[in-house]
Amino acid sequence: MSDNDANHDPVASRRKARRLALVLGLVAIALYVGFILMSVLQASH
Amino acid sequence: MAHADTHDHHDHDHKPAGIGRWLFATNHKDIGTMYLLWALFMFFLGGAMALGIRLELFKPGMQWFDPGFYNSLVTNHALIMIFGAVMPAWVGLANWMIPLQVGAPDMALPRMNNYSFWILPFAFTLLLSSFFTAGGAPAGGWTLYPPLSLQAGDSFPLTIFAIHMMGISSIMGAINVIVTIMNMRAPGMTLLKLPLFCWTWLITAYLLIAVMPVLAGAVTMLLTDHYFGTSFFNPAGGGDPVMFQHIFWFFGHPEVYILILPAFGIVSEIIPAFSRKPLFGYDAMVYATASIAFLSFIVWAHHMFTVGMPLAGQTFFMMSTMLIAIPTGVKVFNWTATMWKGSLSFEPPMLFALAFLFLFTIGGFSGLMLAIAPADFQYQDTYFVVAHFHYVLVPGAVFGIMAGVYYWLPKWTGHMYNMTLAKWHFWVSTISVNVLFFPQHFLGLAGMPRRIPDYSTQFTDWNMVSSVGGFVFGFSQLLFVVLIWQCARGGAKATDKVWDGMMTGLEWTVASPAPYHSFTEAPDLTGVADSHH
Ligand code: HEM
Ligand SMILES: [Cu+2]
Repeated sequence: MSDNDANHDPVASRRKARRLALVLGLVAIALYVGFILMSVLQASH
Repeated sequence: MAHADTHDHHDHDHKPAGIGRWLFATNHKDIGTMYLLWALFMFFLGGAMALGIRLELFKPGMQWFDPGFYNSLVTNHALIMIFGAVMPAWVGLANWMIPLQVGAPDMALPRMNNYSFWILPFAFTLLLSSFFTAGGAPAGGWTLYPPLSLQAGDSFPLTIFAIHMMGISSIMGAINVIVTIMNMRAPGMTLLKLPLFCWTWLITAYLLIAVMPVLAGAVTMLLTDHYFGTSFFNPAGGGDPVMFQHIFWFFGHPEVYILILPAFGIVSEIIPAFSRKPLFGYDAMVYATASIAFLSFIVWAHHMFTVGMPLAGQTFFMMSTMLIAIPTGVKVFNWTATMWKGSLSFEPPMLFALAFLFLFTIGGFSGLMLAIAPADFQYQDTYFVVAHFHYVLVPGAVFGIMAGVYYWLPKWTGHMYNMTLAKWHFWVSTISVNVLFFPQHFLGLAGMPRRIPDYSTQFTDWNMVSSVGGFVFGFSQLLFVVLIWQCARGGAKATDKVWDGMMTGLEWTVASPAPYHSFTEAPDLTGVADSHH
């Protein structure tokens, strides 16, 4: 298995880490909103 | 494993001084320590509530508490143990060990790490302050089912906001784990060289991000139903209380795997170390963990067989639940095969790992019994369920945490601990935990319901036995505290390798105690073979 994502360059790694963290945080928020919206639809049909 | 020079000789371990070191902590070791001490404190608080429960149940009839307060004890015991003790203990171990195991100087996002920890004291102050509100603390069970949970008094919004804060804390913790493992590994540390604790935590972290928002959504809807006139779960307004149960358990079942997967990882490291043999089937362990995580999303309704599902639904959830036994069986087989013809020794971490292996498996078997829909109609909401989940959670998850602490404590403090005391702690805990929980199977099969402060007299004997086991187990945990205290203060000097076993992780290449800053220059593992392929 390749280790392209490993920490060869600390500055670049941290930048990649922050980007991935942002994506994961947005996924979490989307799930929160998504489940509430789904329930709104379910309750109003 | 690696022969990299990782001792940081040029490093002057300058630690920030005073209280600021902790309040503004960004060092993964300091934050790990705070998480672990927090978890220990919560174990005793939640444990005190559990002893209150066992005190009341020692005899039939109402002895000590009024029923409402008893129900608050049950509810808060669960919330504190799950969100205050077991999860923070795992995050503490992750903080301490993941950077050391992947060869990184720290977690990838140290400031977020600080926020994740410091949210917790606020969340639990909020939760516990509800004991002093009109109507008392929440008492509808940790599952918060409406309409019962909506009958709470002023405690209700406090509980909901506390759960939101715990959720935010653990999502931030999970994000940190993922980005640290994905982006901060030392060169040459390919994913399939990772120690299994990193692998199981990585998968746990994805589960956390997937389901904590679902719980947050569910409790937000409870809040709006209570205060803002919505009727998500209120049939009078066109809603459906069963929908809450679906949403809750879509979170809840992955949650129980969040509590156990890191224990699988720790046991998968300890058993090879003290069998002096590489883990049998490393890749299979990784894939089994991933399968369990995947399956944990499609089994949730086994918690709700009795709500009146269509037969097809019951069959589906029964079958999918039983499928989980396959990857779980792979794991138990691999742990056993690792020991086969190994050169075994029984240091405290190994003792806890072996107790885990036997006793967690008992919990797995009672889980299989509960997964049989027609049988579950009988078992549902009885002490049999209580026995099941305490077997997987106490000699399962909690013993996994203890095994990890006994394994790495000398690496943290630089001292060996008192082996005699550790063995006393192990044996008293292991015997008493069975005295505490095994009889609950009998009580449940005989029909004793869960979450009640009183019971009819035919259940007396086994309840007395269970309560005695509970008090012995609870007080024997003081031995653990004494041991940790002594080990922090002094003791025989620990070597870098600490144990005379097959120590393969990078954490054993740094000094004991691990220097305040480690791996400031990444070790290079390119081309270095690992022990398991
Ligand atoms: C072979 C694996 C497992 C199976 C087949 C299984 C099956 C079940 C079933 C069917 C129930 C619902 C019982 C009822 O309410 O009538 C249940 C409850 C429960 N299980 Fe498991 N389980 C397994 C493993 C685990 C693990 C690993 C954990 C946690 C570490 C766990 C924690 C729980 C908890 C906390 C409950 C009760 C929740 C509540 O109602 O408050 N289980 N299990
Ligand atoms: Cu479940």
